[in-house]
Amino acid sequence: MKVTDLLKKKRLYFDGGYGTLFQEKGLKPGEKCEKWNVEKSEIVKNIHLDYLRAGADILKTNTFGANILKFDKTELEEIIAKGVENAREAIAESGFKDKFVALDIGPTGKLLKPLGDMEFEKAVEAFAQTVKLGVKNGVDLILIETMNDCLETKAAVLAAKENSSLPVFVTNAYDESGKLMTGASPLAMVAMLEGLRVDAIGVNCSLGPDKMKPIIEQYVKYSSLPVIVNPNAGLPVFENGKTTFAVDADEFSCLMKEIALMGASILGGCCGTTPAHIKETVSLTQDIPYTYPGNKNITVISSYTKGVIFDKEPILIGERINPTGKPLFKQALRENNIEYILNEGLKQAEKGVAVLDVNVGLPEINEAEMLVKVTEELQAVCDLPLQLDTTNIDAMEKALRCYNGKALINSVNGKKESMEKIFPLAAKYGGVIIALTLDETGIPQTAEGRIQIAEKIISEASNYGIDKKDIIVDPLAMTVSSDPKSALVTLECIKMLTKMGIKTSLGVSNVSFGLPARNLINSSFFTMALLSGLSAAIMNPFAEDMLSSYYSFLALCNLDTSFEKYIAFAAVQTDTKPVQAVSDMDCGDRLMYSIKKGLKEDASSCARKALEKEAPLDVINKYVIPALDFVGKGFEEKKLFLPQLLMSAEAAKSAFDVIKESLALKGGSREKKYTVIIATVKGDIHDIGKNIVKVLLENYDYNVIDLGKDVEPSAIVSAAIKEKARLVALSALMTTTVPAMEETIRLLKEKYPECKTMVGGAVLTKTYADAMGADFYGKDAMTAVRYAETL
Amino acid sequence: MIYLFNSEEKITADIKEVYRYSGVKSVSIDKSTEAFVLEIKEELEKAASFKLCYTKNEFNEKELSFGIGEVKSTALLKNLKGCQSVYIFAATAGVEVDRIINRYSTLSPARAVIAQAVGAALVEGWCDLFCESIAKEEKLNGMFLRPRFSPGYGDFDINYQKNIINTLDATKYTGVTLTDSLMMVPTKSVTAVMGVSEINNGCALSGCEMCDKENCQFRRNL
Repeated sequence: MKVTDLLKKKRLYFDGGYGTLFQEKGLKPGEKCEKWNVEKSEIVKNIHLDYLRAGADILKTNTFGANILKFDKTELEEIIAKGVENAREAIAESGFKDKFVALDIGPTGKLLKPLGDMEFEKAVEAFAQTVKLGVKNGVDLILIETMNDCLETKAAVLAAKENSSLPVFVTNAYDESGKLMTGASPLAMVAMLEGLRVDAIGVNCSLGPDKMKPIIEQYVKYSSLPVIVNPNAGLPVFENGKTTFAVDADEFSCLMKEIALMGASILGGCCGTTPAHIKETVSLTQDIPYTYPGNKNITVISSYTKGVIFDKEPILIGERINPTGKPLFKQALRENNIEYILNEGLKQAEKGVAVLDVNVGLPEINEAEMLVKVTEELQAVCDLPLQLDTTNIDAMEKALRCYNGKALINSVNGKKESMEKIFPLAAKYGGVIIALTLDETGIPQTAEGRIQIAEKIISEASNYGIDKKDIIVDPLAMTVSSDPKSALVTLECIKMLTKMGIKTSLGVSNVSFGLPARNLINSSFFTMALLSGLSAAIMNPFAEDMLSSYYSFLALCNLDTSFEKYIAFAAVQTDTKPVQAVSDMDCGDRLMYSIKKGLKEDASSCARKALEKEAPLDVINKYVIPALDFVGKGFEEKKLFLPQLLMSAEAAKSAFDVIKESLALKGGSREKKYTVIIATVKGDIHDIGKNIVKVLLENYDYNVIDLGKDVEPSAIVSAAIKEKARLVALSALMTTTVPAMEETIRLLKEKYPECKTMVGGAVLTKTYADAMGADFYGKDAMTAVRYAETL
Repeated sequence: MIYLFNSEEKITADIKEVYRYSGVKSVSIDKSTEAFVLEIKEELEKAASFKLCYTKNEFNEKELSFGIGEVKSTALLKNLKGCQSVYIFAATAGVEVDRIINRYSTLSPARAVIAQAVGAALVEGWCDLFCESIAKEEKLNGMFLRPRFSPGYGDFDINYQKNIINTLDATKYTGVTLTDSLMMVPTKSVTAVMGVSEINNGCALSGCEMCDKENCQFRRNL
C-alpha cells in the first residue's frame, strides 16, 4: 500500500531524532553524520530498528545533509544508497508490514538570492541530484524537512516533483516568533505548498511540542492537506541565568496527544527525541479517532512572508506597475531602471494595497527577462504578494517559477488556447488565477452569458486538478459611456458569482473611459461593486476617491468593527502639510535650502514651483548644482558627514526627477556627460557603497549604468565595451572579494584598455588599488565624483 | 553540547556607535538629522530577531585547539594565553535587518548608511549582552572572560568562520549562513571565540583598541 493511501485511513508515525543518538555513540561536533551510513551502518540500522519497534511507520534516511554542495558525487551516491539500504534492512529485520522509507532532505546550508548568494536554479539542481539518487535506490516518499526559508523550500519541492512521481512531504522549522527564519508565516507556507501540490505538510525541529502549538493551530486551520508534527525534545537553552533541558518522553507524549487532538495526521520527533519518545507518543495517541482533513476552501495567495486571503474583506490590488499610458515608466523599462519600478511598488504599498499587479510588457524589451527581474527585485524590497500580469506565456512561466510564494496569475480567459497555456502552469507552480469572462465569441452582453463562460473556465480548470477556490472571476467592467447598460450587467454578474460562492475581481476604472471627472464615476461604481460582493479590485491607490469608497464601505459594512482602518485613513486626509519655515524665500532659494538641508519632499515641490518661472536647465544650473557643490565642499572640509551628504544628494535627485518629467513633457532631456559602469564585484553582496557613488555621479550628470552586486568580471567588461564607457567604478567590501576586483581590472585592461577604472570599499587602500592596477582609488564618494570630473 | 542563548532584555542600538559606524562626528548632528537617525534606529530595533548559539570547550594552549580544528594565529594565541576553556558562539540580528538595509540601499543610500550602522550596533549589543551574562556566570566559579575574538581579527583567518558555523550547527540554530566568499548572511552576524581564565587581566582591550588596523576609518576615538 502507498503511504498516501494508508494516510487516508489512519494516523501515521514518523521516527524521531538521530543526531543526539549518534552523539551518544561517539559522533563529534562538526562531523558529518551521513558518513556513518557507510562507516557505521550497523549503528544507523539499529536506531532505525529501535524506531520501528517503538511504532514508527515512516523512517527517515540518514541523509539530512546529503547534497552535492557538501559531498562529492561518488561519496553522495554511496551515502544515499547505503542510507536507503540501512532503512530497508531494518524494515526487513523487523518483519513489520506497511512501513515506509522517506528520503530525508534538509536545507543546503546556503541562503538563496536576493538575501544570500545562491541562485534559485542552482538550489533546484542540487536538490535534484539527491532526489534522483533517492528514486534510484527505491525510497517510498520524499521528506523535505527543517526548511527555514520559503524559497529554498520551493526549490526542493520543484526538484522532487520534476524528478520523481513519489509522494512529497514537507516540514518547515519555525522559531518562537511563529515564523520561519526568513520570515514566512504558517499561512504563507500552507498557501505555497498546497499550490505546489505536495502530499502532506507541517512543522519540525527548532521548538518543543508545547511552543509549536500555536503554529500547528494555524496549519490545521488553513491546510487541506494532512499535517505533520515532528517537534524537538526541546534544546538546552541558557535563559535568564539558568539552563533548561530537554522534554522527556512522558511530557513529550502528553503534549503530542494534545497535538493529535488538534487534528495533526502524522506525528513524530526531531532533535533530542528518542525511540522512547515515539513509543509513548504512539501508545497515547493510537486510539484517538482519526479523520483525514477536508478541503478548507480558502482562496489564498502569498509572498515570502505572508498570506492574503480573499474573503469578506475586499482586497485592493495596486495597478500602477504598468507602462500603459505612462511615458516615464516606459522610459524606465527601456533603460532598465528597476529602481523606478520598485519605487512605484513601494509607494503603492504605503497606500495600503494588499497585492501589487506587475505588468512590464513593452514591445521593444525582452518581457520574460524583465518580468523575472522585476519580480525578484520587488520581492527583495517589498513583502506584498504579486499579481503577475502578462499575456506572454514564456514570461509567465519564468516569473511563476522564481516567484517566492503563491502568486495571482493575471489572467486566463474562456478561449481554449488561453486555458491550455495557463492551466498547466498554475497546476505546476500553484497560484490563484484571474479568469476573464470572454472567449472565442467575444464578451457576452448579458450576465448569464458571462456566467456561462466562468463556469466553462472553472470546469476546464478542474481537469487540471485546479480547484474552484483557486479561480477568481473578473466579469469585466465595460465602458459605460458606450453602453449605458453595461455597468448593471457587470454588477449583476458579481452578485450571481458571489451567490455561487465564486470570488470576483474587477479592473474598476475601465468603466469611466471617455467621461469627464472619471474619479466620480469610478468611486461610485466601486462602491456599487463592493456592495454586490466584489472580492478584489485592481485599482489606482493614489486616487483618493477610490480609497474613500473603500474605507467607507469597510466601516459601513461591519468589516472594520473598531473603525481603525477608517480612522487611520481619515487622519491622513485631514493632515495638513507643515508650514513652510522658509516661506519668505523665493522658490529658487528655497530649492537650494531644501537640497542643502536634505529635505526630499520640499526639494521636489520647490523644483516644481521654480519650473513655473524658469527653464529646466536654468533651475539645474542656478540652484541644484550650486547647492550640491556647497554640500560636496562641506563634506570635503569635514563640516558635513556622509549621511548628510547623501540626504542632500537624494533631495537633489528628487528635484531632478521633477525637472526630468518637465523636460520629457517638452520632448527634451538633460544631456549626460559620459557613461560610467558601476558594479560590486563577483562574490560581494554589499552594495551600499556602490549605490552611494551612483547617486552622486547621477546628480553630477553622468550616465551611470548600474550592473548590481556580485557581478562576473566578464559581464562588467562586456557592458563597458557595449556602452562605450569611459570609466568603470568597482566596489568590494571584503578581503575575500578583492581578488575578483583585481581580475576584473586585469580583464578590462586586456580587452578595453582605453577605459579608466576607479575602485573603492572598506578594505581597500591606495596601496592595494595601485597594486591591482586601478587608475584611481576613491576613498569616499566625493573623491569619486572629483575623479570622474577630470576625465 | 550546543546551547541556545535567549534574553527578555530589549536590545537597542547604542546611538554613539551608530554615528561612529556611519562616519559621523556626533557634534555635527542637527535636530532633523537626529530625528532621521532615530526613526531608522527604531524601525530596525523592531525588525531585528536576535539569535545566538554557543558551546564551551577545553582549551589546549599547546596546539591552540578548542574544538574547531587546528588553528594557526599568533593574535588569537595572545588573546587566549593562559585560558582553561573557550566559548565559541555565533550570533545574529536576523534576516529582516538585511531586508531593510537592502530596501534602503536601493531607494535611499542615506537611510542605508544609517540602517547598516544600526544593524552593526544591534548585533554588537546582542553579543555584549551574551558576554556579560556568561561573565556573570563564570565569575561565580571564580573565572574571568577574555574579550571576544572573531575570525578576521589580526591573523585569525576569516576561513575559521566555516569551522565555527559547522561546529555549532549555527545555520540550523541561528540561520547564519556563509556565502562562497565567506560573508555571513544575515550580514549583521558575528562568530567569535572567548577565552575563560582564572586570572583577571582586566580585559580592558576589546574591539577597536586591540585591533592592529590603526588607520581604520571606523576606529573608535581616532
